[in-house]
Amino acid sequence: MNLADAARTGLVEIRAHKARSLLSLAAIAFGVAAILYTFAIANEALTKQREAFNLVGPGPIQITFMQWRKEDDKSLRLSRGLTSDDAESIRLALPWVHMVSPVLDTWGEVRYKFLNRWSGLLGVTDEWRKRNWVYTLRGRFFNKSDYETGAPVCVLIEPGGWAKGKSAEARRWSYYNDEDIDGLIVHYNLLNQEISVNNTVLTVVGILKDPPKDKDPRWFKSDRGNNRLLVPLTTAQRYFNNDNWRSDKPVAERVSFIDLDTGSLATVPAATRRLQSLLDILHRGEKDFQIVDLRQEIQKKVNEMREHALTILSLGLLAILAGGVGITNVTLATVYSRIREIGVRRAVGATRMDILMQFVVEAMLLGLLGGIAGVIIGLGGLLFVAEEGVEKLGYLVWWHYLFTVFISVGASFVFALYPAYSASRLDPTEALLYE
Amino acid sequence: MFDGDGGARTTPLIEVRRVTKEYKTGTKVSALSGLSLEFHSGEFTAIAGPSGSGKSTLLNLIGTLDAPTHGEILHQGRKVTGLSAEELADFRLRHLGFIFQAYNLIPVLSAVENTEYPMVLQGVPAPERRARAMEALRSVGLEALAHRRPDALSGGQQQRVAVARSMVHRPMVVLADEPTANLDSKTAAALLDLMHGLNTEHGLTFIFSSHDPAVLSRATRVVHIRDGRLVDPSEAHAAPDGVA
Ligand SMILES: Nc1ncnc2c1ncn2[C@@H]1O[C@H](COP(=O)(O)OP(=O)(O)OP(=O)(O)O)[C@@H](O)[C@H]1O
Ligand SMILES: [Mg+2]
Repeated sequence: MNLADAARTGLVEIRAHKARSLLSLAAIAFGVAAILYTFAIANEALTKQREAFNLVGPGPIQITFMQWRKEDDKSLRLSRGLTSDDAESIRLALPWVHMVSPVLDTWGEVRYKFLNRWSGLLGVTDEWRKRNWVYTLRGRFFNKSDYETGAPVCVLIEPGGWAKGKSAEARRWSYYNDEDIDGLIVHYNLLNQEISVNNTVLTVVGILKDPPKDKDPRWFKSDRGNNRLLVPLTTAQRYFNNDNWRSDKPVAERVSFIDLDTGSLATVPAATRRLQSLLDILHRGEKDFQIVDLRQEIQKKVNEMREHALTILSLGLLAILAGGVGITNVTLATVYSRIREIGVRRAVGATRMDILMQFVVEAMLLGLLGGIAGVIIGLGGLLFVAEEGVEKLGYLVWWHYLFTVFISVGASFVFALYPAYSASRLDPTEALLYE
Repeated sequence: MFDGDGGARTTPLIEVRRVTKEYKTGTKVSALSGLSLEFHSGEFTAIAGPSGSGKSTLLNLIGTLDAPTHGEILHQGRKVTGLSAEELADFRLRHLGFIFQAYNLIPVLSAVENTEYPMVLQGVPAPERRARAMEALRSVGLEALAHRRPDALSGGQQQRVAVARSMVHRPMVVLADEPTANLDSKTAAALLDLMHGLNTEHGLTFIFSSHDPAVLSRATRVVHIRDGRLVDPSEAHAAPDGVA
């Protein structure tokens, strides 16, 4: 008996017992949908990791300033903390390092007309543009004289909104909060206007626009969107060096962190060692800085996503298992309801293998239908249930669909084996007597 | 078409040699006790006997669906006792046809699909097996109902489909265990006419069981058994003129 004949009889059987077939089909389908979702998440993690790595550059390192809280401060105050002088020394000592970008990370009260809003504020150098440049620019960025003179100019960062996949209402809500700085930037055309930040009047020379939130490759940065205000580092150090509440010695050249890019992954460890010894000397042995490998940070986030994917995968496998037990159940029921028929088939000359194959093929057909239904349910679920569903869909590749269907067919095969085997072992005379 | 070899008396078609069949259900039950019998090609033989006499047991053993406790069974001089389950399945598929009392058919398959089932197992190409199945259905007069499912056929019609299926692959013998037991007397007579017609026209060998005198009267040879033994040991061999 060939496969096509077994499949044809199987289809007829499935059609003849619709309710029974539908039940096990549903269980399988949910498992398949969950597995499909896992694939989407896993692939999303991979893709985002790749994007993020591309974005941070090949050899990203960050040196962060660890300010002591006054009460824990056991330092001898030999160090001035992290400063733009450190950045300059690094540039001189490690001239091959591709990017040295000192940043002063602080905040300010923005006033425009009758409105006042709080915003994060970054003092940056031109090096800042080398990393995470995902914006579209209106107006201009800072020029040489802005940096040199500490000019009272600023660039604003406008929220990017959502590309797709959200209702207008949801889009409006997540676009920005009207009550904070985002609302101010979105509602008023501030280009070439004057705003006041902590009572210093700044001219808005440019506006950067974020990419849409769902397309933002900087997903791994938790602080994105908080800093809407950029000023030249010199300007920040002159006017907004106000984040000294933890330290009793205000330092004019203060920076919060220095972003570096060694240019290649291979040079990161060597650069880290060099930086460590250099800064140990510059800071006179005070441990008030930390050297962070950004790739490891990204990897950590990716691992979190992977764990999430694994959780869903195990749920999906559980559902497949439940579906599989359903298949076992349905096949057993089918076998019991067809004992006489099995007797007739055996008498006419069907071998045990023929009988086994008959039931296995039937179950695999159910698995195939369940798998296809699962793909449809999965796609539907991603589209309508999950908020970021549309985005997730983009991470599914054709073989994901094929593989999930394959899993469901394979599971059906495995779970039908036992009942099919017991059917094949039935004694023909007893089967013929069965009422 | 069915090459019944009516003349050759040297080797019987089927030989049952001192066969005993015991069932162990608490106490030992002897369904057959040292029974010996011969059947020849082209016969239209009835096994007669009261309920529990061992008719079904005998037909199952001849049909290789079950194995005897003692003794042996030969088909065309070849011993079938001792063959493996797969070999027996293949033997049944090629050489035997079966008709049962009822529920002969696979419920989800149409009449013609049921009829071609043995050929599906044999791997006969679809167009050929469909043509042969239709021919068999024509010979039982059911061509018009070929595409009906069993549940849309009467008991008599179902048995005719079973007859068509049992002969479609040109077996050397058709075994029928009480094929008319579930039919009314008129339908039963018609089914017997059909079987007898196939026997005389195609030389198809039939061995069937019954305890209905009207059915038995149609047989060209009757073997009576009781308590698993021949009532008249001389019936073990066919009378020289017993073949139609
Ligand atoms: N599977 C079995 N297990 C135990 N005993 C059995 C089994 N099959 C048949 N028997 C016994 O063997 C004896 C012969 O049974 P068998 O079915 O061959 O009789 P039969 O002539 O076909 O009867 P009926 O006319 O009622 O069909 C009976 O006593 C029966 O109870
Ligand atoms: Mg019986």
